[in-house]
Amino acid sequence: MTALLRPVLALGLLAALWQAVVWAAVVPERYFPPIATVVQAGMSMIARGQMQQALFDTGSRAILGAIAVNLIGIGLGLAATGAPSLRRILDTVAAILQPVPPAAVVPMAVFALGLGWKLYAFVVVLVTIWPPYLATVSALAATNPVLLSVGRMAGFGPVAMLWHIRLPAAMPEILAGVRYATTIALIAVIVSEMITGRDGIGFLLFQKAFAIRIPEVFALMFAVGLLGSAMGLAVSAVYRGFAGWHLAQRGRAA
Amino acid sequence: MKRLFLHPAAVLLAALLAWQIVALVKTTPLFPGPLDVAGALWDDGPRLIREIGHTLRRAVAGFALAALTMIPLGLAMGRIRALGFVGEPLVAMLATLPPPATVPVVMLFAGTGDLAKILVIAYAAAIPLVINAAEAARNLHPMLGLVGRSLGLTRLETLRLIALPSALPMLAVAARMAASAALLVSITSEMLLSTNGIGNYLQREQENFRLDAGLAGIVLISVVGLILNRLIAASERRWLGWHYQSRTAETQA
Repeated sequence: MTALLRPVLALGLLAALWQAVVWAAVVPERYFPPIATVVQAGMSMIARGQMQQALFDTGSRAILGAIAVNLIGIGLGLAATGAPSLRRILDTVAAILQPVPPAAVVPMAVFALGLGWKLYAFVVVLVTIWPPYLATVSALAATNPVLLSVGRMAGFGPVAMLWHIRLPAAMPEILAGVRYATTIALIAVIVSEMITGRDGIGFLLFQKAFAIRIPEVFALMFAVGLLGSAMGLAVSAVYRGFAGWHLAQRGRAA
Repeated sequence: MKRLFLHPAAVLLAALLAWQIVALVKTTPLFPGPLDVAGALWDDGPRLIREIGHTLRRAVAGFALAALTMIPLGLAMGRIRALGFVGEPLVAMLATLPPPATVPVVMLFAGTGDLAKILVIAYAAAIPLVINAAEAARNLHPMLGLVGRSLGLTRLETLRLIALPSALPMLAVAARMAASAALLVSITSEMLLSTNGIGNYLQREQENFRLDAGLAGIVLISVVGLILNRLIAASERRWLGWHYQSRTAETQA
């Protein structure tokens, strides 16, 4: 009950705050339109099919990218745990590439890969692969020694140990990395769209902003927020599936 | 021998060598080799330093703004139930809005100057700080709250003397995320709202087909990011040594 009540309450509060700012007229209405105007702008963009198209473009890139990148990252993490020399190499590459922002590689990637899906795949993989990789490596290395002793007593070999003990124990931390990677996948896609300027929500946001269509800009921001929430909810569902025990344990401890 | 062969530095060197050979074969300015990049790094050195200075100045300002406002807010949200009840879902909702998506709106209010960029950076850095501060303050050990009460501390004193220090380990994690977010968003905002800074340099040089200079800029960003990470890790060890010591003691026991 409260789980449903709180977001509704927060949304209501946000709407009230918004409307209060509009009525107080601290910002010119041109720059901060009432909610009704924003909803209207969003509706007309939906009626023209613009909104769905942009959401589909951005959403498909971000969601497919996030799924692929998380699977590759966790896979690399598992491989690196098995082969320490691979881990040293990947750690070096991660340290070098991690500070590079997605925006910085976009212009060059456009030269090399064009404006199609390859561009987005490259940018998303390059910048988002590291959180799941690093989380997997560090979580697998930090299994509770007591659990490892239990495994040895059960006569587990290295593979059984990994599958039945180390991986499940590492899941909460790995999924924290997955959650982080999923948010940056969306960011990377939107930034790329802003810079390449062809399609998607990022492009539309800039187009409307430069045309000073403020209600449309706010409506698009709301749509981006919804897309982000949907992706976050999907990660939460995965979390409950794989690491629900962790939530239950925490709930009892608190 | 095998150890030496697989050493990260050796692998890196081999990769650079392979890259140089391909570049020599291709002989086009659209595929610069590592030597071209090093040359561009040397030629544009003073300019690069100046541009990254702008970038770092804004990143630090945005980070500081976020830390000064969001840590107290987060702690208060964790300790004062009513505030947390409405505040947390609100923050969770905002957290799904990627920082670059706020650029168009910030641009309308604050133009394209320093202030606009600092605000976007502060927004990006604020999210992990406020979430972790609230989480840490909420999960405060109940005993610590009782200690505060038996010492007769006021609400504000409890926040400052008990909630803040015990939240520090989680805040350190958040600070690391916020610092890298600040640097990333600082560069991104320069590419979108171009006036100066390393992001602007990248954008301009790559549009002029000076790919070697573009790569030089990326190399510089990577080095600066590495140094920043090292600095944060070192200061964490220095100030939070007590936390990690007690943690190791726990796992050994």
